[in-house]
Amino acid sequence: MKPEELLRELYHCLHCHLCNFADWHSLDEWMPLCPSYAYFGFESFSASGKMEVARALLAGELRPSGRTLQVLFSDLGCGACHAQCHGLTGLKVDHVEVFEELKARLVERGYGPLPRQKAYARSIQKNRNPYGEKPGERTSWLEEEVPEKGETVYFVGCTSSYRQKEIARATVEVLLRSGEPFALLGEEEWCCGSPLLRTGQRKLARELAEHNLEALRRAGARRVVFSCAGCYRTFSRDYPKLLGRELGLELLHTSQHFLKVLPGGKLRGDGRRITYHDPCHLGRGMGVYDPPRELLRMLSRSFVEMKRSRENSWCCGAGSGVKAAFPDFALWSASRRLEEARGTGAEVLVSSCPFCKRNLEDAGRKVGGVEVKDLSELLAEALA
Amino acid sequence: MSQRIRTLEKRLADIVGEENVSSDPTDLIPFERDDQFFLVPPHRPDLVVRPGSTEEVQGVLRLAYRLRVPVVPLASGINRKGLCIPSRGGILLDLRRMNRILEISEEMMTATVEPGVSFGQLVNEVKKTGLRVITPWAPSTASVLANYMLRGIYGPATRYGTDHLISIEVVLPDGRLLRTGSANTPTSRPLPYCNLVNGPDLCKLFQANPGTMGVLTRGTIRLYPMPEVMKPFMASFPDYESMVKPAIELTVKDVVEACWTMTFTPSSLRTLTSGGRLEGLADLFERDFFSMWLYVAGEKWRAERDEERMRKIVEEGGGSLLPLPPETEEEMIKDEIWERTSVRGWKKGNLYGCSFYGVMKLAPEYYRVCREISFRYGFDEFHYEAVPVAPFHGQLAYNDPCILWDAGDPEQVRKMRRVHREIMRGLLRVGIYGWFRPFPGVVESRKLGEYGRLWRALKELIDPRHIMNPGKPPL
Repeated sequence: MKPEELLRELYHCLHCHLCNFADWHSLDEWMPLCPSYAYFGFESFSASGKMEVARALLAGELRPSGRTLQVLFSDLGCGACHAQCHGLTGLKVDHVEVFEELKARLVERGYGPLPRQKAYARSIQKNRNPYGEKPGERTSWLEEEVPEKGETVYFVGCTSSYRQKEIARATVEVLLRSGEPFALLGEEEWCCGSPLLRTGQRKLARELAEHNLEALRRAGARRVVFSCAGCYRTFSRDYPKLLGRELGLELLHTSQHFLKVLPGGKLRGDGRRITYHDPCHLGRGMGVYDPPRELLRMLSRSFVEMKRSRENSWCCGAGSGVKAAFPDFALWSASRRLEEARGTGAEVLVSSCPFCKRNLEDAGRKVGGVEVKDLSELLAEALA
Repeated sequence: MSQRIRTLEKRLADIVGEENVSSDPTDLIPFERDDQFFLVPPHRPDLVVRPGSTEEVQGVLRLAYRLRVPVVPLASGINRKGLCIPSRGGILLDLRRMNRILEISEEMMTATVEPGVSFGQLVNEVKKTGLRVITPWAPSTASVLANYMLRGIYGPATRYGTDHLISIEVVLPDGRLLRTGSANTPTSRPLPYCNLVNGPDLCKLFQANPGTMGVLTRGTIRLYPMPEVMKPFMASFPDYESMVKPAIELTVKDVVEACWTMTFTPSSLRTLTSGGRLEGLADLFERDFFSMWLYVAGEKWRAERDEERMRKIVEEGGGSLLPLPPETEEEMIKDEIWERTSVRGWKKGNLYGCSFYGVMKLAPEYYRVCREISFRYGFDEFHYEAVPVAPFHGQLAYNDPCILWDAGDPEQVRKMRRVHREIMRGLLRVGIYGWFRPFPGVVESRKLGEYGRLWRALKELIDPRHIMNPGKPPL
């Protein structure tokens, strides 16, 4: 969208603030939905406030300050605001896209991102991952022999490769048990670029996209499977925009792939009460709500929903570089989610994104009460 | 930033804590305009302050009063008609931290709340009892107290009227605290809630004044029994005139709790129903759709009786009841209890409204005048609504001419300013009681004779330094 078209569209936010709350017509309950407004409290942190900040920046009425960067770079990109606003008002733009576009424009002008977000960008440039880890250790978790070429490639993602390695191991285990052949890119897998795109650092992201697609081409991939909701969304929605072309690949989240290839009758859970946290990139970002639930229902007769689920899901608080730059805020948001999960009586909170798991687990170390697992882990246990 | 603002910011931080004050333009910009910016020019406050208690509000006002700094209170964050645009800068007092429900008394059928409490929040708590909150068809994020202070109820106003406020606590411009009603009665023990006490009901003095006389910090409101049955209906009529007699009869005989007479041009209907269950409805109409939205409510026996009476009145008036899909029926009930979907009016992008109180039998005339002006300027997405309001003496009706338009188009902005002026003049020629929201440009106290003079004198008495929301009525 051209700047003048975007500016025109921003006049259509009427500041009703309905974007701050879950859809109470369907939930029959009044519940907050915007973590950044709930945490920071100032109007500028709400979606409607940020729309006004966006308007002022585009109209040249605001010289960015440290506070401007705090407001925009603490945006989680969770899309909860857009899920509420979409179809209800006349605002036609996607809030997530507007705020990401704004961050990119600021970065182009030399404002932002925040120091820790810059730091992981440096690491991505040097190590091809945001964690400062060596590229050669990307598959240090791998215990099995897995080919580097094949029609189906499992794209592991940086968080599972270097931090939540149990998710990578579990995913490989489930893939092996499914009997469907698959490959790994190994060191040729680079960061997908999501942490950069969410923080306005687009230049390097293009290079990463081009490399990853070339690596997949060389591997002979026709299908790519992701256990990371962020990587999945980045490939699906951002790469085509970034490169100006369709990818020509079938892209699937593990929940979709497993639902196709696993024999449902063989899945046996341990009987514990389970609830599911929709990762924002997978749910609101890609509209994938049902496959993880179908698998969980196969695993457990006592699967329960949290009140805020699907489009009304409360963000874990980790995304868009927030965990790096605003760790207290990220943990606060995750703590709220854990409390909600505990309120259902669930013993296990399942997600299907390693970054959600990481943040929820970090918060859980303080508040406890519910175990956090990835969907792949539960499936691997059930198939063992 | 000037030295004066820097000093003020420090002193305000001493009162509310530095985490609750900001003078950074990023925090100020969201308050500088609302969607009526074409009528009330944008203006940025110098500071935003977020008090958390009555004492903090008092501290802020004492300081502002001493230094003659303008203060604009904002209750739950929704700003309409420029009422909270800080036309002369100063402090934007964001009251959303004051969002406590202090008491819900089933015995007294009351709720006592702070100004940041929204309808959604209160309905959520009150529904746990057998009571209900009377809600406007506005976003549920609207402040209960701000709405009641501006007499903002329509919809259920056919049965319940607009007067749901019993007593209030107000911080006056110089920081003193005023309590109205029984909260101020000297007794040996605290009494519950009553507005009929010694002397006049001063609560009313502060109503329909958009934060120009002080800052409301708590209020006690009336709650009502939740009806056992609520059933919505929609009827179509051949023209506006034929809706008036049935609407009056349904109101006078207290048959329904809400009675909307609504008209839609086909193009407005097309936009409003797009993407919804009623999409395609507009294709059935070549001319305006005249409809009546009705709610029968009460105990089962009463609802059954009223439904029968309602059907008879509608049919005798030439109306036809339309079948409603169960989902639409359910949504309409939730709208009545919970609110929300009225924001669909913004589906074009922006909604012009110039709501006012008028006479029910004149509604067809109001409609014709406004429609003609709207079409003359090329705005064919027009709809009109009139709702009889209890007590119905004088055939009191809330009216709203609505135009769906696009404020992102500078040409439409220019036209809309002219439309607004013409609609105002046209309605005054027909004859109206008064404007619903007291926003600058429509409410001119200088044209109100002795009444206006006294209104201004009262404002002068209460706010002699003119710090409270300057630039707003009474002007």
